[in-house]
Amino acid sequence: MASLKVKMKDLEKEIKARFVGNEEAIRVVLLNQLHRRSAALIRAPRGIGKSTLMLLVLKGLCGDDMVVISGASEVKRGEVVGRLHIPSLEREGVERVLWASFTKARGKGLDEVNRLNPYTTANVHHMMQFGDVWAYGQKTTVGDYTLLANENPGDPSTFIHSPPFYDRFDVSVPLNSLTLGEKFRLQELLDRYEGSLVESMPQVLSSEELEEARKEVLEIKLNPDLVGYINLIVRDFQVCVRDKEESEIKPPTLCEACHFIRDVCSMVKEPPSERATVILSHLAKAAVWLNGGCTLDDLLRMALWVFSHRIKLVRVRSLLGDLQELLDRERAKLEDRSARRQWTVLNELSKDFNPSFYRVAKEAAVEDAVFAEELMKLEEDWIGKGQLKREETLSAQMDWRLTSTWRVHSK
Amino acid sequence: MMSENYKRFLESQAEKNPVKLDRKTMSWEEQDVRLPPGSPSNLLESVYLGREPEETVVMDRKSAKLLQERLAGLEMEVNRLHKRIRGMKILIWILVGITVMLGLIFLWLQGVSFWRLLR
Repeated sequence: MASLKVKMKDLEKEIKARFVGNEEAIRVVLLNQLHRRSAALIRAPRGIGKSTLMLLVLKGLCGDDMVVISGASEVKRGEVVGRLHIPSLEREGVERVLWASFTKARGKGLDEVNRLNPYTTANVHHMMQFGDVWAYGQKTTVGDYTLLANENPGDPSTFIHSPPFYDRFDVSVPLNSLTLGEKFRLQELLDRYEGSLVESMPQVLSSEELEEARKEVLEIKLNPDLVGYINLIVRDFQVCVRDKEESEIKPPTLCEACHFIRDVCSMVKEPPSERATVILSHLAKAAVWLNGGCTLDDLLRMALWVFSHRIKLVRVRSLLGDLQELLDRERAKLEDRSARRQWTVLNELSKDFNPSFYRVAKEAAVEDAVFAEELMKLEEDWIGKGQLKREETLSAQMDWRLTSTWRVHSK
Repeated sequence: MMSENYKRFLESQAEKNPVKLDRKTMSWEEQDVRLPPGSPSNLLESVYLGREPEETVVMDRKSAKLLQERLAGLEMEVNRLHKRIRGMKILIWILVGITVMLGLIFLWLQGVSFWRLLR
């Protein structure tokens, strides 16, 4: 186990020896490699090093067992999924499919994914979703893989891919242009490796070792607090008392005169999917395995990379800057909940109804939608048991209804 | 039905942030809370936790209400104890009277003549 961790650290060192700056992006991309069928998206303007980083990671993990498809070139279905074996069709009348090397390779690269045509994207999306590919009515299962993609969001010759496609990428990391000092370092590196940064990159982990590391990470058990914080962070970005996911009207119009107008929820137009919770758990486990622990600060930092391609904000000046601001607010909210003993009260109430704890819980719930929906579920149980009258409940007093999601009761 | 992990999360948070429930009032003691010098201190902290108050002592409506309830409770308790003490005093005087009477009766039965003692 120790040697696998050492090898992961060695991989980071080898990449950093060839890639200048953007150290956090490297760390996140590598952390994301520690679970099955990992997929990372690198976003940056032209010439910053998206493709170089993608190739360095793929080479370090898969060696020559990798295929890169470029959206900049004309990509046909046969090159991504498979093509018909013409001699078999002509001689025997049998439709035999020759599966493309992209489906077989452990390392899969998608260069300039924004330029991939919708048909290729649909095939890749299917592969990421179901772990198999279809061609000519035949299916082949794609084993475990490492997928890295990159795109230039400012590229004018871009196809608009669907949000569910981007949701399939575990993390999205941006790259920044180099500082003055970093530019000097890059020139030195180019001289040292004679311009062959990628070619000189060794394979640090074999596919068996990576598989073993992924198994070990999968077996890690996260402590209850970490699991709780992961779920809370995602839920705080999803919750809406006016049910924005179902509503035709979206924030900020939907939030007019809402009780929670100053909360994080009012800044989020499209909330993150449930997959964000899964990916945050993967990353937290990987951090525990590799670094020996994962703190709340680590989780909030990871959330930045997990949310950035999954949500839409109401007003965007700089997506990462605005998202970071919301995550800072989220941190304060998490601390405030602990300081106000909200979870202690809910713990007591989940065991049995107590009027004193319930009074405190109701006060807290008025200011916290996530807490309120948990309290409202308990209220239904107490009404069923005759411990509480419906008119005394939070839902009756605030005029909130909890169905599958939130619904404000129409008068 | 609550999931096991959810239960564990709530229990873990409850263990880290314990509360005390005294009749109808929930309370807890803040750990590691240090006020910047010169800032006003909370009245309840000096009353209940024995912390030295600062130059300015502030009290929010909730604290004032709490203190009011507590004072009313204490006054009622004082009145109740006063009544009990008065009752006890009367009882003691009655018991003293009875004891004296019994002593006199005992002496009379022993043949002690009180007229002689008085003369």
